[in-house]
Amino acid sequence: MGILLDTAWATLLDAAPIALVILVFQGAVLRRWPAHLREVLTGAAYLLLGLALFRLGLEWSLLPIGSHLSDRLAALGGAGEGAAAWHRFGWLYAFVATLGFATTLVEPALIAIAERVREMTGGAVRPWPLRLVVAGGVALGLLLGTLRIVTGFPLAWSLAGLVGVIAALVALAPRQAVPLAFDCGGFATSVVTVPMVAAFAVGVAAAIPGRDPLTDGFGVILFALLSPVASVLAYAALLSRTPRSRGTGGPHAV
Amino acid sequence: MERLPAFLRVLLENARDLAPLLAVVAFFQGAVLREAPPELAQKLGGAVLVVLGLTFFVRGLSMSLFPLGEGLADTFARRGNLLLLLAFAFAIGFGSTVAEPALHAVTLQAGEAAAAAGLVAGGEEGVARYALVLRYAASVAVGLAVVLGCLRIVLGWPAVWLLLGGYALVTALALAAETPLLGVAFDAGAAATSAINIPLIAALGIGLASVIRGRRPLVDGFGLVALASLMTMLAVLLGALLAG
Repeated sequence: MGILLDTAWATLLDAAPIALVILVFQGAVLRRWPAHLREVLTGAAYLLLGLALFRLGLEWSLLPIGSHLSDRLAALGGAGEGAAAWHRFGWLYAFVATLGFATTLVEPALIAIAERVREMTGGAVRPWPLRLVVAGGVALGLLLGTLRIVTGFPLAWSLAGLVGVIAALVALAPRQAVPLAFDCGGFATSVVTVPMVAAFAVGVAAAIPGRDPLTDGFGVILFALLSPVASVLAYAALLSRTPRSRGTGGPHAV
Repeated sequence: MERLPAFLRVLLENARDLAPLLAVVAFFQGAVLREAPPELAQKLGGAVLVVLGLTFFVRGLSMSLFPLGEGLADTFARRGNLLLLLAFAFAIGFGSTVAEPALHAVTLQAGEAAAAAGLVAGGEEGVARYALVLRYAASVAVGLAVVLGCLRIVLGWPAVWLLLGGYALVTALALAAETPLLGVAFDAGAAATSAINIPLIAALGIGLASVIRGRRPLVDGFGLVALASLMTMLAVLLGALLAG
């Protein structure tokens, strides 16, 4: 119970500045309280309780399991004679990709916003396919990010490649899907993916000979941030080119 | 009591969302490493907490931050005072980022990486000071990004040029300047936007695009969160280049 209280208190402190901002602007500047004040306050309590439980649950389960597994799998490939060749880490790649896919499905901001997008489009954009496409993007991103740690490919050129692919897909995708696609990267790298990746990337960099955890352990989240942008753009471009599916889903259906 | 079945339905949905994660972990523990995870009971308890927390969080979001953010955007737009709106936008961006725990963690790591690279002197105290400066710089960057994003919605600029142009600029900076903090700058960009500020910033954009004539919520309302990550990357990158 003590740990739960500590986590709840920490979450409350995290939310304090923003509560203050809203309070000042509602009370002192606008001099108007929001409609359904009781519901909003109840919702805020749910939100903080939920976030505290969620974070505590992550700390107990997902974060230790994730870093334990990736350390072991990286050691599996790093062991043995000679330089660590990139193809020796097959299990590690399989793990980070499937893990990225699965963690994105429990990313709360993405769940909530996908639902909001459904309401906004009158059901034209269905939440489940959107979340699957974003999860696929994160899976690919973590795979590429881990491959980069193993091969030591320069981060700046990785960014250049990702931005190039996104620019090309922006030209192909319907214009109205572009802002949502860009935001999906941010929705996907939130309360689960960021600590998860932080927990395993440094461990992987430490387990692979010739990599410095301090410099090579960072930058994996960049891939998880940008590759869902590409996957959602590609999905929207694909949907807009298949006339039969028009109106049944996809971010192009406004 | 009539709410209970709906709550249970959402709880089951969230349990379904967690199932792939359990399957992945079980497969790699059982089939690849062939060992039971240590402290299994606590880990299963953690999974139950994740499902419960997810259910409360998403429900609370749709009851509080979504209507609050969209309502405030609506009120500010109807007042017609652009300066007031932008001041609010900055305060929301700054206030929701400054206490973000993921950002806190990344800036501390950045401080250590900078100290190891010889960019920061003064031992642990120097690292802490560097991390604090970085955290405030990132929060200001998010504040400015929300201001820029709101201005964009009001003026009707398309988001795509701002975002692609921003990423082109970050790429050019990253290619031109060698800094050991490159990876940290990118990670800070992703870490600056998390569970509390993403829904709030998104709701602000959607609310603004809904109330201003000629803007469509889906097309014009999104793009703020991506801009916030981008501006944070730029701020940390520029900070690293100036320090080096």
